[in-house]
Amino acid sequence: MKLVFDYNNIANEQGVAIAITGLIIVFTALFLITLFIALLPKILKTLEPILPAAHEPHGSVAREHAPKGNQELLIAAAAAAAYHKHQEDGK
Amino acid sequence: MDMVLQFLDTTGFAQLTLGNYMMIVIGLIFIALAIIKDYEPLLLLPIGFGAIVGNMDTPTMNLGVYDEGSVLKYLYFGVDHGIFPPLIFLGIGAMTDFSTMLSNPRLVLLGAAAQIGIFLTLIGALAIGIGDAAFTGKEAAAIAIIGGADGPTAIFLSSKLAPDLLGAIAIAAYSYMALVPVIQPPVMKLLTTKKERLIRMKPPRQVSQREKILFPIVAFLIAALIAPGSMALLGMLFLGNLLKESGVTERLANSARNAMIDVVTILLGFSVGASTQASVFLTGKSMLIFGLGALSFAIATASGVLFAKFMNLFLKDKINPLVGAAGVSAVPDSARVVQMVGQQEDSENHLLMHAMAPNVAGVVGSAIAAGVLWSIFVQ
Repeated sequence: MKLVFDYNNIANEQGVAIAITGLIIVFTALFLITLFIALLPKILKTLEPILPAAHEPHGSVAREHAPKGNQELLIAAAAAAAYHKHQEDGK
Repeated sequence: MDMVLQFLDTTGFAQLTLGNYMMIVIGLIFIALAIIKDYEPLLLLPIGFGAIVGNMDTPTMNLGVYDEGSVLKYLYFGVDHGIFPPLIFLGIGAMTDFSTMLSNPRLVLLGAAAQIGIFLTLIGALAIGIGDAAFTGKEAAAIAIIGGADGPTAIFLSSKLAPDLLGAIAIAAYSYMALVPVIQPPVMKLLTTKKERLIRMKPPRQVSQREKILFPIVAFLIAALIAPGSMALLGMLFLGNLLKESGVTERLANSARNAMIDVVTILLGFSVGASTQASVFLTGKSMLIFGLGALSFAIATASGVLFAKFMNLFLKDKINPLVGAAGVSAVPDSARVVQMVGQQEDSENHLLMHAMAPNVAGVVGSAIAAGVLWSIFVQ
């Protein structure tokens, strides 16, 4: 097995053109993503009237979607505590 | 007695070739590296064991991944049809926190710079051949993607462009990912001065949840509009991330980043390992692929570091150039290597958070590069 170097193959397969085009595309895509990220805080500030930070899904939605069983348990625990306190106050 | 002799003829002892034994030893080395050295154990262990299983296949049994109707062929279906890599990307997306990238967007460009390794290797692979067999454009593109240091992307592209080389490319990609702590530090030290390695970077800013939610949607649109070939990989990556960040699909995100990715990793690792049968794997081309893969990886590391130095010419708040090495994706190993090399100079300098930004940008960059190569060569 012998290694051979055939530089014509680069030209035949348009290797240099593909490499340059590919790099330009990768850089363009990631540059646009960079630009978007850099502008994101400003975009969000502009969108503030439509999408206020207070209405972010985290927190409110997460609480809404908390398992129902957990809420029932909490209510039951609170009711038990209140009943226990009421009994103690009655004594 | 004849029956006993006939049976002995069907055993592995009688039918395995020297090449099969060599591949079994390589499989054992992979397992040893995974267990003893903790090098990418989640991948090297199933790949190593798969290599042992794949090379126990005897010509009379037809049980291997290339044999019609065999069980292993069905498992391999997910690899050679490019099904497993997007599923892995879904899990990666559900694990990834893009906060560091969102807090310091200029580091994203380091993820692009590291992809230079892919395209320079493409040219190199086209120029080099073994005997009369030069690599075709499709094969060279599939080999070059090893420089992205992203196993699923390498498998995805080679399954589309050069299925015959898939085993060698996958093994090379994962081997070099496992060897990140060995390959990268010398390149990083060679290209940076002590003063540069001591640069401390500003701590990342706090990122709001709305930024984290909007990012995967818009980043996907940008990437897919520019390079539609990256749609499958990036679509799944950003879907996974949206599942995680939206806060309303925690169950799905959990499944994607735990059970699903684990199952797919086992199947992918095992079937890639099983595809390394000596008869198809031990060829001059495979050896050349390993050589070109190492070159690609080293160039990618160097490109990231040098680009960080180039950016520093224009920046007031300097970037520690070591961070550029993390642009080769290999999440999170290359970021860990940056932290390790940085701490060798200054134990108080914590670069891990900063390195995660080009690291995840590298995943996006290599998927875009794969998409570009696919678009070009699929025509």
